[in-house]
Amino acid sequence: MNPTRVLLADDHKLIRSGLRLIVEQHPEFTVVGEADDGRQAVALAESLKPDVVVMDIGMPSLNGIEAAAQITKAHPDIAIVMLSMHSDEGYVLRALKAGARGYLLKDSAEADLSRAIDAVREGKSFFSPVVSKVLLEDYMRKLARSGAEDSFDLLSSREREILQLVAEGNSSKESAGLLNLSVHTVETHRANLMQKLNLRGMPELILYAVRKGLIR
Amino acid sequence: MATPEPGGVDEGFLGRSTKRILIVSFGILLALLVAAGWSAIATLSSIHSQELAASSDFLSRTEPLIQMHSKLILYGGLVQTAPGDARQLFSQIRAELAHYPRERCQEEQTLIDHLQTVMSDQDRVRAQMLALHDAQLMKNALGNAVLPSHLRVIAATEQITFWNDNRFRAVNAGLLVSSNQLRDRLKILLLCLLGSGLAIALGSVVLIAAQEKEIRVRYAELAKSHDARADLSARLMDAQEQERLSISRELHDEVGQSLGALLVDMGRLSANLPQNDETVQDQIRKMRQLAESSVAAVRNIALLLRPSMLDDLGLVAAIEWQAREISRRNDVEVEVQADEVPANLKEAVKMCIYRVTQEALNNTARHSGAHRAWVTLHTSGGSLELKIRDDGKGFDPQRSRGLGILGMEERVRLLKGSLAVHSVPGEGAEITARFPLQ
Repeated sequence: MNPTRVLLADDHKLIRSGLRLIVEQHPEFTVVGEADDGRQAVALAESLKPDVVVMDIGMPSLNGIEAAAQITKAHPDIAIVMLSMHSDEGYVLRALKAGARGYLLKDSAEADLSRAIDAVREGKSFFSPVVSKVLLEDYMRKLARSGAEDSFDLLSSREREILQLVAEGNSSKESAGLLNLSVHTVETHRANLMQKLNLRGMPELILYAVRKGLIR
Repeated sequence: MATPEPGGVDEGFLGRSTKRILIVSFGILLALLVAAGWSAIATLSSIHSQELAASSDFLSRTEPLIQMHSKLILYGGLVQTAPGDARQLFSQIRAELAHYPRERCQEEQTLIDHLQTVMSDQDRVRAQMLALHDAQLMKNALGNAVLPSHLRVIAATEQITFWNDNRFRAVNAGLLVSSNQLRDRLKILLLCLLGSGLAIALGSVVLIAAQEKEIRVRYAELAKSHDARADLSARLMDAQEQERLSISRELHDEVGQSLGALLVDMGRLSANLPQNDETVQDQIRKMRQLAESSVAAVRNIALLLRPSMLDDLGLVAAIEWQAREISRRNDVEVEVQADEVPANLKEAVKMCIYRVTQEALNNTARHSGAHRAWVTLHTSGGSLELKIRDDGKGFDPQRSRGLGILGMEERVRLLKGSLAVHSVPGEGAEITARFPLQ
């Protein structure tokens, strides 16, 4: 397998060099470029065609979320790992909607970056464990205070399995193969579970899975 | 013209001395008018009564004179044909003279006396004539004595009539003179009054114009200072936001990033040192914990100063984040229902909406004891409406209007919006801010 080509985008040189050290410790990764704002990241993604872009959210001129949206729209095969200071679901959901599959907190980047790059390179999702924890806490607190029941309890065990597989980045066909089911059955389950959980689209499904600790 | 005294604002629009002068002038004018009218009326009525007296005098004299005169003419004929009847008629004429008014001046009395004399003369010559028995002699006496005497009586009567006419004419002329004098006097007086009235009116107009100008100037100054205050307020608020932004950037970019880099370096240091050296690894772990809590503290301060989600994610996401932050730290669960705001919404309005939400939710969390709160943001018609409601214990907005609400009002008002606070003790509170959309 060819080495994974990584583009780093962060407006702070210090952080970029730190990230470069982490990435290059991994024998199969290579850093092909560095961008110091969103616009440059879009331009470099266009010219260098990296496999993975590691992108900071807070950047001048064009922020990371906008840049990610532009890149994934033009090149759906480029995977994006979002770097953020915030574990808030507003950020996570918008990063997912922009097409990012990985979401890392800067605090834990050093420990998790390699795993995140690996995961998104394979089409899987990856989230910092702290993010899952915060999302789950928010969710549970809200349930407790509003007295609503946890819609997760409404799911059958089959639906839970499919929720996890889909959220991890598996297509319906891959999930069907893993579970020995027909593609049609998987898609029916998937539609049912999304209706039960009141989810609109993949980003919300992934966010839900992260919140439930189904992806890490 | 009196200029307003120092501190004239407290004296009312006109200065005190100016007012006094105006009142006195108008008072004098009014008194003069009353006096002139009074004297004119008195003079006129005196002229009128003099006129009445004169004409009644004239008539009371003319009446007997006319009677006498016409009877004398009759008598002239009768004395030639029937002297006996003539004597009777003449005594009637003499009786007529008794009707002539008694109050007479000397000249008049002389004329009357003369008439009496010539009348007695007539009586005498007629008696002498009647005493004659010869027709020729009687005829001679009639022609030589009686008729000439009769003519003298008529002449004396006419003399009195003439005198009476003259006297009436003279009185009338005198009355005309005094009425002309009155007219001239009134004319002059009225002209004077008109002149001074005009002068006072002109003075008042000039004075009022000057005062008005001053009021306008003062009003303009007031309006300007008010505008300047609002402008200053807006700029202060803007400066405050800018200051917060720059401090926040500084914290995030410098302190935060250095701490981040430090963390990365410590991680690499820990990896490069022998893993079994417990003491060193433990120390590095403690250092990392310290650095991590510093990073968290710096991040929280930076976020309070300037919510980076406003720049990264937009207004709605920033409000949702704010609501979750409040929910995480307090016993109140905040729900947000927000439409996406127009893309061209001004930065200042976004900031204002964010800060009002932040302030209102903090108030709710701190003071209301609420368990639930709701934030809604909708566009309707030509305006953007932000509403923050809670189910807390509420307050009386008439009585307690804290600095927080005043600050919100100020912020909203500077952007031409309006803020309404509605709350009933025991029934929660609701704050509504409306902003016009161009």
